[in-house]
Order: sequence, then C-alpha cells, then structure tokens
Amino acid sequence: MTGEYALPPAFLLIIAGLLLPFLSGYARNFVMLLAPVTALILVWSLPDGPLLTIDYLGYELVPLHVDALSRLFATVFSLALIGGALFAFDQRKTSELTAAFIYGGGSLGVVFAGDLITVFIFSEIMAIASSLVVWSGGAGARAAGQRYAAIHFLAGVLLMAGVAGEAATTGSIAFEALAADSWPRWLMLAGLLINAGAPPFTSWLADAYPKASWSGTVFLSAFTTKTAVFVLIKLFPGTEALIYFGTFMVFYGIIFAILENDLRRVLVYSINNQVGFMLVAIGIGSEIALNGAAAHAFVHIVYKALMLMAAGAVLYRTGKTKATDLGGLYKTMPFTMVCGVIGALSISAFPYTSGFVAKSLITKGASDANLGMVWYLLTAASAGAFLYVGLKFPWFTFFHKDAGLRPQEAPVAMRFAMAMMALICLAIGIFPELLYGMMPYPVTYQPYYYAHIVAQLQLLLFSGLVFFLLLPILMPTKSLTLDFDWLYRGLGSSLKNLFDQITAALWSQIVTRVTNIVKVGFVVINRWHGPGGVFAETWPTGRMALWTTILLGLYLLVYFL
Amino acid sequence: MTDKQTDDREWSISPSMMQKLRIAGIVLLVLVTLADLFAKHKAYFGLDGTIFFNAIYAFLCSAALVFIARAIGMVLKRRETYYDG
Repeated sequence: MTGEYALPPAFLLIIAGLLLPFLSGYARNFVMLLAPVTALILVWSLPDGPLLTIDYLGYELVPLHVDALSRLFATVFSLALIGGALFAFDQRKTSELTAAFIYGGGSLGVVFAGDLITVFIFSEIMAIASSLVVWSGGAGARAAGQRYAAIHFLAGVLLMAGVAGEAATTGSIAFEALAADSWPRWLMLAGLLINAGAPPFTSWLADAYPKASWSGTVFLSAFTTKTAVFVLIKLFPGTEALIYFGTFMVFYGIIFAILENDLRRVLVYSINNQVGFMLVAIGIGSEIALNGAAAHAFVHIVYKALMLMAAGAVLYRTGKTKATDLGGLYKTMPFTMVCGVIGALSISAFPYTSGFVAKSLITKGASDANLGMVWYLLTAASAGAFLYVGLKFPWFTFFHKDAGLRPQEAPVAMRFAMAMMALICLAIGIFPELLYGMMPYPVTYQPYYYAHIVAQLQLLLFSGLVFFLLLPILMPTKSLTLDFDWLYRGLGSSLKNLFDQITAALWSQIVTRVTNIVKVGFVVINRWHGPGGVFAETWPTGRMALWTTILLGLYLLVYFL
Repeated sequence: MTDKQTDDREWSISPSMMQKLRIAGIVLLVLVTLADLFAKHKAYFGLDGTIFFNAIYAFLCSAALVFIARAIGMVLKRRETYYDG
C-alpha cells in the first residue's frame, strides 16, 4: 500500500456505521452527525489525483482517486448523509442507521475509485447494505427486500463479469471512458443500467424503497441510482443508447406517478423520471450535457431527500402515505408543508430553485447537439413533472380534501434536516455559481435571462392549469398498477405454479407407471416362484436325473462338434 | 375506493379562499402569457421560437400525458391486494 492519505472518506463512514450499535442516545446521534461532516471536510481537503494504491493479484488498485466529478458526487452524498442522519435522530432501529452509513460509505468508495475492481467491491457493499436498509422497514419489507437484493446482486454479477472480461481482453482495469463495443463493456453497461432503474428493471425502485421506514427511504433515494449515474458518466459518456433508455424512463416515471396512490411511491417513480434526464444527458455526451447530468444528480439528491423527508415526517406522525387517506395537513404541519413545497418547486425546475439551474444545462445540451426530438420530449416532460409530482405530492398531502387528521408538526430534528435541504435548494437556485463552480467542465452558461424565465414559467403554470382542470381524472384511487415487476412477481409466480402443476402431473404418471410395472413384475415372479409356481415345486429325483442327462448329452454334443 | 366511488370529504381550503386562489392563478396565467410578448424568441428547431409556444405546448403535452396515463391505467390497474394472493 502506498499513499499519503491512509483513510479514505468511505472507510470513515463505514467505521462510524459499525460503531453505532455500541452507542446510544446523544452519543449515537453525535457520531451520526460528526462522521459525515468530517467526511465532507475530508472530501474538500483532498488534492486531485490518485492518493492511495494497493497491489492486489498483480493489479494496482486505487481506492482513493480524486477529481472534480468525484468531489462533486462525494459532496452531495455527504450532504445527503448529514441531512438523513439529522432526520433519523428519532429512529430507534440503530441497525438501519448502521446499514445506511455503510451504504453511504460504499457510495463514496465508488466515487473515489480509481479502478474497476474497486468500483465493483464498493458497489457490492452498497448492494448488501442497502438491502439491509430496506429490510429494516419491518415485516412488510421482507419480500420486497429479497427482490431488491436479487436484482442488485444480478447487477453486481453483470458488472463483475464485465470487469473480468475487460481485464482479460485488454489487460486494463482503468476507470476511464470506454466505448460500448464489446461483450465485457455491454455487461458492465447492463449492470449499471439495472442499478440506474432503466428498463426492463425500472420497477425495483417503486417496489422496494417505499417499503423502507420513514427514514430509510430518505437514505435509499440518494445513493444507488446516482452512483450508477456517476459511473456511467465516467465510463460511457456519449453512448447513444443511453438517450433512448433515458427518454423511456422520463415518461415511464411520469405515467406511473400519475396513476399512483401511495405518495412515497409517486416520489420514487419520479426518481426514474429524473434519472432518465441524467441518462439522456450522458448519452448526449457533450461537456455541457455531462455538466447537466452531474448537476442534475446533485440537485436531485437534495430535493428528493427533502420531499421524502416531508413524506416521511407525515408517515411518522400519521402512519399514512396514501393520497386517498391524506389531505389538509397544512393546518397542523405548516413547516413540513413549506419544506415539501420548496422541494416540489425545485423538482419542477421553478426559476430560483436548484432544479431550474441544473435542468437548463441538460436541455441546452440537447439543443446545442441539434437533437430536436429529444429537446421537445424533455420539454414536454419538464411540463409534466410539475403536474405529476410538483403539484400532486403537496396538493394531496397538505391541501385537497380534509382527511380529519390533526397530527403534531414534525419533531425538531426532522425540521432542522428539512430546513437544511430546503435552504440548499434555494441557495443553488439563487446563486447557481455555487453549483456551477463544482462542475467537471467549466460552465459559461447563464440560466437567468428574461426569455428563459418566461418560457419556464409558462411551461409550469399551464401544466398547473391542466392539473386543476383535470383534477377529477387525476384523483388517485385505491388500486395498484401492474409494472415491470409483474414479470417476476405475477407472470413469474404463474409460471412457477404452472411448472409445479406440470411436474406434479408428470410425477404422478411416473409413480403410476412404475407401480404398475412393479405389480406386473410381482405377478410374474409369483407365477414362477410363488406357491404353485414351477420354480417353487420340489423336483423329484427322476426329473433331476433326466435333466442332468439331457444337459450332459448337450455338452457332449457341443464338445464333439 | 374504486374509480367510480366519490370522495365526500370536505375541502381543506375554505370556498372563499379557494375563490381568491383561483383568481390569483388566472391573473398569474394572464401575466405570464402577456410577458411572452416582450421576450426575444430564438428558434432552435422551428416551432420552439413561436410566440406562446411554451404555454400551448405545456397545456397540450400535460393534458396528453394525463389521458395517456388514464388509458394505460385502464389496462394495468388492479386491486391493491393483487400480489397478496
């Protein structure tokens, strides 16, 4: 092992996570805050370049390699962990927090990886730890957690096979831009797309995340998909297929969120939607588009955490998450409502919120690349975003019909966490240079000019008009929408039942036939050897002598011949 | 609650406040539409440089998305306990 810096931020968080079960009360909460804050300071004190190397099986692993992109993602992952930890002060399940810190540490491990093997190792740590976060949701999360783990282990197998193939064919494990032009690289791409929630593996997000606890979903929303986005930016920028995957995800997220009743699931479907924007930007691959993908990942982590905090606070206080059970909570949870609305405005890309300054980079990237159809589709999706989540979440939670619920305002720690995330949303929106200054490529783009602001306001307000005009159609219903997971939950289950029936019928036939053969065998044996059978008789001496004579005669005849 | 059932609960916002909000919303829509008259339009792909493009496009696309979702929902919606056996 060589290097000046012996403790990568990832290890700091993982060690802190492992310490948590031995602490309680204020000490536990103090460590929960101290660790990610220290990690954030460490992130910004590290110089660029490879800082730690380890020789392993003839390969040089680089567990700590810093550049602008890794620093950007590490910053927002640390912020998500700070906010999440603060929000989870009242969480009694320390096991969930331990898993969350190891999960967050794993994400920092990936973003600071300087080689593909390190990427794989930390990705697997993330898969295991995040499955534990889902399982911490209780008995209702068990089956969803199993499905979640199976899908991410599949992604890990594909990634590992790709890394091994790449090492075998090229001799390189360098974590750098690759062309998707060989089987190992396609396998890596497939593994990453599964983790990003791309089709046909879009539904693991909505299946698993809402089953986690009120705090677990906040952690889950931050790391897995955005780590996949980070790795895709590093490995496959400019891969055209990502534009198609991303565009599908953008509209998939909108359609399923419109149909959804569970508001935490609505927010999770919007992860598919927003990651779709990022994939399109990575597929475009220009500097402004890649900046857009990175910027959008940053702001998305913050406002999605904020919205899931608001939804989590409502769940914590009321035990409810469904639009049909909620409404009118602004009366007793005004602080949570204001924070939720700030998150909703940010995700909708309202001017002077963080979403506006990030999403603008992506649409500018599409127009600069002369991708007219992509630009029109992304613009339509931007309008749709206000309708399906920007309005739907706050409206059905805090306004709409009065559900008669009168819960207390969220606990103080939760309010601090939400305030922190809301301030980041507004600060980036008002001072975009805060975000642009961290981008991997220099940003000369200026999002605030009259025509752009007016255009965006028109998009959003007329989308809002549609929301209220079509509110009767948009009313959620107590129902479930079949999704891609039906392939392994519905169809898979039906196929298993069919297989069970066929094998049972086959087995029954085999048993019947074998029984019949055995029975016939017994009859034959009985006929020859049973009482009265030829071989069961006591042979008289004369007959014995006759047979002996015949056999001897035959022997002599054969010998003579 | 199925698609055909109605929600009989009271609105959480009073009718008078709702009316004020409705008027404020209409004023905002008018203002933002008129503001387009003073904007410098630049077309990248043709239609996007047209005056009021964003207002009309957002309205049509949002409505289309709602109806498409509704149509898909008619095919894919099931009872909440569908996977519970």
